[in-house]
Amino acid sequence: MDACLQIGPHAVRIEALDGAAREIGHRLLQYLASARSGEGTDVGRVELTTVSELPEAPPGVPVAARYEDFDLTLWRAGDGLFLRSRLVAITVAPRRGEARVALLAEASTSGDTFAVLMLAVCALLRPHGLLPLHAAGLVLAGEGVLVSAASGSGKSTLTLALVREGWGFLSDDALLLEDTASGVEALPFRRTFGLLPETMAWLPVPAEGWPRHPADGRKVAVPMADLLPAQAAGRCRPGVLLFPRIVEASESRLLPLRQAEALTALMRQSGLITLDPEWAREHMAVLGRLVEQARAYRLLAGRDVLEAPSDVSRLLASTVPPLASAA
Amino acid sequence: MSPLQYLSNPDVVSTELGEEAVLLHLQSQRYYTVNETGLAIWSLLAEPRSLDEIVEALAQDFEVTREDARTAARAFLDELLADGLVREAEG
Repeated sequence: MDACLQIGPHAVRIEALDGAAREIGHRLLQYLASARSGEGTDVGRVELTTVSELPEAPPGVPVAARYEDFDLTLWRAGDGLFLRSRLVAITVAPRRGEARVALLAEASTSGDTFAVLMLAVCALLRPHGLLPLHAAGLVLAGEGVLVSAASGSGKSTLTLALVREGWGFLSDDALLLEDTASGVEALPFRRTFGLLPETMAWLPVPAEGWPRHPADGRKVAVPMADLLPAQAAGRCRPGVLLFPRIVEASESRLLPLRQAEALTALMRQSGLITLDPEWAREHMAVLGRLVEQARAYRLLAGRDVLEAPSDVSRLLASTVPPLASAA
Repeated sequence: MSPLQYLSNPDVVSTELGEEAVLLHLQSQRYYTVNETGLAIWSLLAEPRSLDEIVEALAQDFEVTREDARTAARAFLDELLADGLVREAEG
């Protein structure tokens, strides 16, 4: 298998050396829904192979960090990285644009595998100025809106509700940030939306037949950019940051956040990025510039997100200055 | 005897935002927000500093008495030391 992962203007080749690895590579491309052919500047390759035993870390290289939630350990030797979890081991040479992934057979059924694989792709994109962010990306009248929150906070529900109201979108969960001369911009990293089948009735496609979301078996991975191409955006300059929290109320409310609060909230959603000190430092600097260019709000999400999403859309469009002036 | 000096922990990353700053201790994964005075002290601690040096800088920059500056600096340093954000350096 030799396929291409398109990320904005960049392309990452995915090469699978055996059948089981081919299946994982195929699922990764499906999950990210950014596969293209022949486009983008080649920035590196991810080589996938299944093994019976994972390789050990290079001898004499100290452990740089450990991330308990993913049972993941990071070793760093200069620019090179070695990551090892229970099911996956990855050797990354970012400057050479190479990531070698060794997987145990059980890795194909583990949701954590895809988070670790995405980390390998991020390591190849980082020398090209792209940093990952766990957030949804939306666009209204040309103004970028990022929605960041832990799982279960209403991020996906809110994002889907606003897309249903006609908002443009980049992704419901995974973005890349690029620090440009005109400010921090966001691109989609993952194009599929993770949807509960019962929330798909309004889409022009059946709810059945979609692949299961690798990280949440209750959801299916739907290529939203293919279904709603007129609303799919390739890039935006975020001017608004929303941090939703579900509350027991009929109507949603907005509370302004200080820049320091917004930065802390974004960093808390950066998970694996804070694994590595160099990444954390760079990531924090870029997020700092992001919060300086955008207005941040806590969205206390009431039942209107589900029952009257047009009201929430109007609340945001009329209350948040960058959106009100853009509309 | 050389005075005791303090230095920020290299395991801490930080970003300034106007008159505040956010600090992240990479080992504990804990976040801290510091105000304008705290930011002034934190910035000084990029190099080894004694308490007297910090007090002198605060008194000048914020136009406060040395006594008030010493009280604020001592309290802040104690918090930073307790959370491992700062360490004592060789004088």
